[in-house]
Amino acid sequence: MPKRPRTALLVLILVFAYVLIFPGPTGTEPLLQRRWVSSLDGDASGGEGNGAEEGGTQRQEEPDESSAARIMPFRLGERFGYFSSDGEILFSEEIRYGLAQSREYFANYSVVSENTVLQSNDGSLVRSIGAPGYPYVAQDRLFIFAPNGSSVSEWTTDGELLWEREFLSVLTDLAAGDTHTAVALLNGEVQLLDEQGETTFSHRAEGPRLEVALSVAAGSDENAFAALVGADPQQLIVFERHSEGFFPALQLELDTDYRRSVLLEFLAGGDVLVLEQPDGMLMYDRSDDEVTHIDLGGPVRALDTISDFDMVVSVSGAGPTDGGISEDDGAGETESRRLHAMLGADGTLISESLSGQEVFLRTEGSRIYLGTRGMLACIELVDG
Amino acid sequence: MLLGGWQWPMTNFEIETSFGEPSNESVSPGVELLSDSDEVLSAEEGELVFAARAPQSRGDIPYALGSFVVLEHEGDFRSLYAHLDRQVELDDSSVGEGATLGGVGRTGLRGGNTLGFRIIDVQRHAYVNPLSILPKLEDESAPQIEEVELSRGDRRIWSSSADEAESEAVTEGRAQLSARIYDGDGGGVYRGEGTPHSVSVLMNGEQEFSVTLETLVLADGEMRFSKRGTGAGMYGADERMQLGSYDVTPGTNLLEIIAVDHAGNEQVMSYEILGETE
Repeated sequence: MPKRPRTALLVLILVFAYVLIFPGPTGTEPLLQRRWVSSLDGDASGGEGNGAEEGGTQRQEEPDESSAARIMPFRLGERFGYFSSDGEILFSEEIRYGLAQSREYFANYSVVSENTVLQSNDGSLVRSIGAPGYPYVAQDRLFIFAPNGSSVSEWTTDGELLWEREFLSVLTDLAAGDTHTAVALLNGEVQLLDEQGETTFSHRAEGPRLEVALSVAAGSDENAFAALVGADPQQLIVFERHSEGFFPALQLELDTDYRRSVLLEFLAGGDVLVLEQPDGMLMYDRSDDEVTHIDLGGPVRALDTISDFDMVVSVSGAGPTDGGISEDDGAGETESRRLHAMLGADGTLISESLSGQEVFLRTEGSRIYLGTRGMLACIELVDG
Repeated sequence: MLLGGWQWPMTNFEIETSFGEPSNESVSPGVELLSDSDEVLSAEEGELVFAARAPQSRGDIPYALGSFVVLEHEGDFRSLYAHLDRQVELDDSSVGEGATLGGVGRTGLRGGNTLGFRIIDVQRHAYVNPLSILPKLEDESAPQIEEVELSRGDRRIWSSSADEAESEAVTEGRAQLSARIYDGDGGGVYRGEGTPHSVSVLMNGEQEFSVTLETLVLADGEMRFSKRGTGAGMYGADERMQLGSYDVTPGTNLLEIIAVDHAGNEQVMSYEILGETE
């Protein structure tokens, strides 16, 4: 099938989304401006024609020569790579089995991974770390999950082992802060580890019939972390540090019955916690202790914030899930995700269909980077 | 102890990795079963506790066990099925005995058609050897005991495989005992070698060491066999079983090593070690 009609369709959707959100300036409203659209296979998008075209990138405006382009990672379906903030695809490769990726380096590993081979964002070899297991990057920290499923270690990119821990139970989730690490275990325990990997706090939920810790989230500082634990009932617990240790700031019984890890993430530097729900997400604002349910029409799959505009950008599944056992969200082949942009917790600006099951979403500064169906696009939020 | 009603999760398999076998600087908390094409079945009626999919998506951690499913059963036991190539979509969380959970797969650091199978005793926070509590597998061969050695530090001072002249002069004092002990192929139970069910050591008729590879708990940061013996440092760097320290006294020292496999086959090896004054 020729690629140009497909990419043209994507551009059309993006432009349509743009027009829908901000049909025109009305004083102080923020405006969305399309900056560029790039094809991962080097095929330039078919825009409306008033932008500059260069290789696989079509620009709305000339790149800003005054500021150096920043390099950013992306992962879209079976491909990953790096692109510059002005739209150039710098490196792109197929994922072998799994991928650990930071802004500077990546490890594209096979199913049997005896060594972790780190490559820089241009593909050149950085080093090989002789530890079997699967690498994982979070908060620019490199972890390796050992084959037994119960052990994890942290490494520097120089190949230095910082710490390693073996747990009695299988790891179900891990979240990294700047220096600390939160882990969730199959036996229902959640633990907070310090920068030496030593446990500084642990908790096991009392009340749920089934003991299991499903997901954890860590704030960037060491003052808060959160966990989704148990089944029948399921509980969301947010722990905050006080002078005498950690205490639950929120302990909420949920209607959900997940038996898998779900999206649980701190936003805005740790002030807001987001939890995946079958039809959207829960947002917990630590500053006013308020919990808000947001209906997105399907479970949240990715999200990010644009702090200057107090905006949350998210991508959701197209339909609600059954709330637990199945991961399927009713996504079809052609129209399977929705993009949402919200001012605050309830001020929805846009909710628009996206073509393609796999979606990449990242924000940086006032820019939204969005990827789907082999295309990356940049939209910028500016004052109207 | 046998768990009533439990079955093996596959019908045609060999054990590739045994419970308690040294594995990546730890010991295996379950068994790895090798099969050509069998589906993975629930070992007993239960309830889904956790399901993980591999390869990772949506920022999940990369599960080293690949796609895996955990069920909870009556009696506070859980079963874990790892390295699945696919998972069956379950309509609800309850799972019948023998229900298909997925296919034998190649996910989670396994290249072959392997099922990682573990049984967890929830109340005791322990892994239990499936060979101890599931229906017995037919095995008519006894465990093997080879390369028995006494050493002091890094220096070997006596070996069962050395010629007589070398093994004569053992000065009195404390010495560490190690050996290679394995269960052969058990008539097709194992792909390669398996671990025995228990090992005990008698010195001059007194039992001084006993370990049963039945349950594993985490203690002081490492997996230990919990029943009747220590698992700390159970295997040396060369993956030989470390069998404790003994006093070699002047005169004849009678060393006996007894290994029993899961089918009850027993192997006894006896050695006379001549001790001399320093």
